[in-house]
Amino acid sequence: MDGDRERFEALFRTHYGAVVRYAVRRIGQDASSEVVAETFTVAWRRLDQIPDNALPWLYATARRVVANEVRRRSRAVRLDERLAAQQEGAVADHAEPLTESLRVRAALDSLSERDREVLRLSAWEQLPTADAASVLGCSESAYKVRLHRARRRLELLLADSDAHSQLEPEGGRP
Amino acid sequence: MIDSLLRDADPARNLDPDASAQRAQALLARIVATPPRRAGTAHRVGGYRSARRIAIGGVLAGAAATVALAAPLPWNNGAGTSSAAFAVTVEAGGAVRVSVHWDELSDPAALQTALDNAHAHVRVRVRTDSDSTCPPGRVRGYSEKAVQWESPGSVDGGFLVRPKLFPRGATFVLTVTMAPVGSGGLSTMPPGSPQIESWGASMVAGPVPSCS
Repeated sequence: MDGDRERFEALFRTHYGAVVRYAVRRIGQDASSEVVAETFTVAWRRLDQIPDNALPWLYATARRVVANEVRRRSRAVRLDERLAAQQEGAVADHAEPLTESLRVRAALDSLSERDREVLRLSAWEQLPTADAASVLGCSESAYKVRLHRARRRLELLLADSDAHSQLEPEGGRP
Repeated sequence: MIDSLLRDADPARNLDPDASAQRAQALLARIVATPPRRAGTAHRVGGYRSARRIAIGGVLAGAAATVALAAPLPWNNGAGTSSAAFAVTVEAGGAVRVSVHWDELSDPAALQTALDNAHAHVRVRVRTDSDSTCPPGRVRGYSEKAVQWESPGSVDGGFLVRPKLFPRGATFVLTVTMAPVGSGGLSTMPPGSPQIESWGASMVAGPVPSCS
């Protein structure tokens, strides 16, 4: 018992920040605390199943928790964390970088969830191929293909938004 | 190139959650207070009722949140009063509880008046034209206690504001975007009825720009 607790506390200390960031990126700050709590609760209860390289396991768990939460909410309300800090969060002091970030996030939003997830795991969680494939439950080669295609689709969207950016009203679509 | 752009757009780029912080330690203590595993029982990922008991509020002070509604809610912009559509209640310490039945609200101005009378420091903005813009103003972060949502991530269920905990001179701004009339969607309202497409909330320091 004490050994379990020590191991879990070490895991918590090591990966708490990464799990919080993972949750915030996918479901927004308001709902992230529940995802983090649930993810670590599952980890505690299934401690004996967690491999030494725990982070991909935690991400995969958090991913299922987020999916469940989005499904639950979608009965009445679809949480759209992707728009957090966009329309309402624009900070005038950093207008240019923010505009570019909003443009990228808007393009990301236009992709399928599958495309978004591979891009996020690569660019935001910066996971190695093997770990990212583990999170997604696919082979490394399948992950590479997905990532390549997702990057290509994002590039096309960004090129398109760049061409039309001057036609968009200020603030864009919320 | 793409990865670089994505990294710059990372919404958690500036987050540095601290596992030794009081909030994180409270979560850890609550988790390890439960049995570590239940032999012979399958655990269902996503048991949110248990998680909610463990959850200890928002992870971070919310700077802004925007939520799109999958199930459109009607917002009748036409004539008529709707005193039953919302409730604004002043509680101890100057906290103001706001509950809105969005499907019954027909007079946003009345809601605004009630909010003003309660000194809630809350502004409701309605965007009815997709070409209009609602400038964000000077957005600021705020503490979890300053604004507490009854249902986090949802405009339903209302919220509690504590203006005393707002940043100096700040206003909590709720911006509702109307879907174009006749745009279809999932509405159960009669054709032509306005619907809420999305909403956003933020804390704004100084003047709150109007939608134009």
